[in-house]
Amino acid sequence: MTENERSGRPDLDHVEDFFAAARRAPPEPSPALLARMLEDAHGLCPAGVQGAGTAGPAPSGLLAILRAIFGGWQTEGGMVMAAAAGVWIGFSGVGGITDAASGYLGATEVLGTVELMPESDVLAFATELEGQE
Amino acid sequence: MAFDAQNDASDEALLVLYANGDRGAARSLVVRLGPLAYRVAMRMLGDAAEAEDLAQEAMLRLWKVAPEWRQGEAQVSTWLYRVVTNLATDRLRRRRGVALDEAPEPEDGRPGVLETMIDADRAAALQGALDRLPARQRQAVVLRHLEGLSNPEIAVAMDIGVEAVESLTARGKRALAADLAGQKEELGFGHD
Repeated sequence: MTENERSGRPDLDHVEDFFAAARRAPPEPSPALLARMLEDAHGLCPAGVQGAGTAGPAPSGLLAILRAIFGGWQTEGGMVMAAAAGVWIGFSGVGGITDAASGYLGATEVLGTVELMPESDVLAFATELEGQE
Repeated sequence: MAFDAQNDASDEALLVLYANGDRGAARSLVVRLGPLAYRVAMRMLGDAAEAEDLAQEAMLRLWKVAPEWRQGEAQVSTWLYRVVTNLATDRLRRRRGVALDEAPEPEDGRPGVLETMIDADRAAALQGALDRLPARQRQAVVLRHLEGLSNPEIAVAMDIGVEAVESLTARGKRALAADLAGQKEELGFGHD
């Protein structure tokens, strides 16, 4: 290479003309290349909300539909936690809740009976009203 | 072809839309970023077929990274510059010793035939000189002087410091000047 020594600087100004010429005549991609890029994009496009005028497979399966409606694993995690809490309450019953509550409120506090399906209360109230009439 | 309201969306917004299954966003991204990927690949490699292959590979990586894209961390275009130039550098390292006299023929079809021919000749001469630069200098010069990136942007794209960018571009430019000095007359610089 014919690069000059540091003291003898080459003419840098005319290189700018080469740069300018190259910027005015940039290499352009062929339509075929852009089509291949788009094909790749469609092949890897995640399922989900489709853009205007586009068609694609709808999400299938319960989890996929829930994910599409509520959005993301965070929501699914919350739903799983809520369901697990419900199952735990169902199995352990009110006593378990009392035990857990006593840890926070002090051992003397008792929750008593909790009706998860309070039909009996409603019936009793209705009977009471009838008795007053 | 119309590209509707997505013309105003940022590259990042389009990428998020794509990650959510919007195929229209993919089209807009191809129109915006496909030419960039090819242009830079071509300037780095000087070979159209290889540049096409590399540009497609870089865009493929973009589609794959879309679902995990972290918003606000980097510009999509900067990320793409980085991927294209790194892939090109890898290829250049693998093919050292390739014939250097195959500068590409620029395309016709622009107004002003004479100016176009002069531009084309100068661009071809520059491409030939770029092909003779070391890969890292070529990378820095292409990003700085042909793509117009700032030194901090190039530093991010090349994963080096700004001072290193300045050094690479200065050395690259000096080497180009020396290389092109002998071609000034024949490329229309004789009477400047």
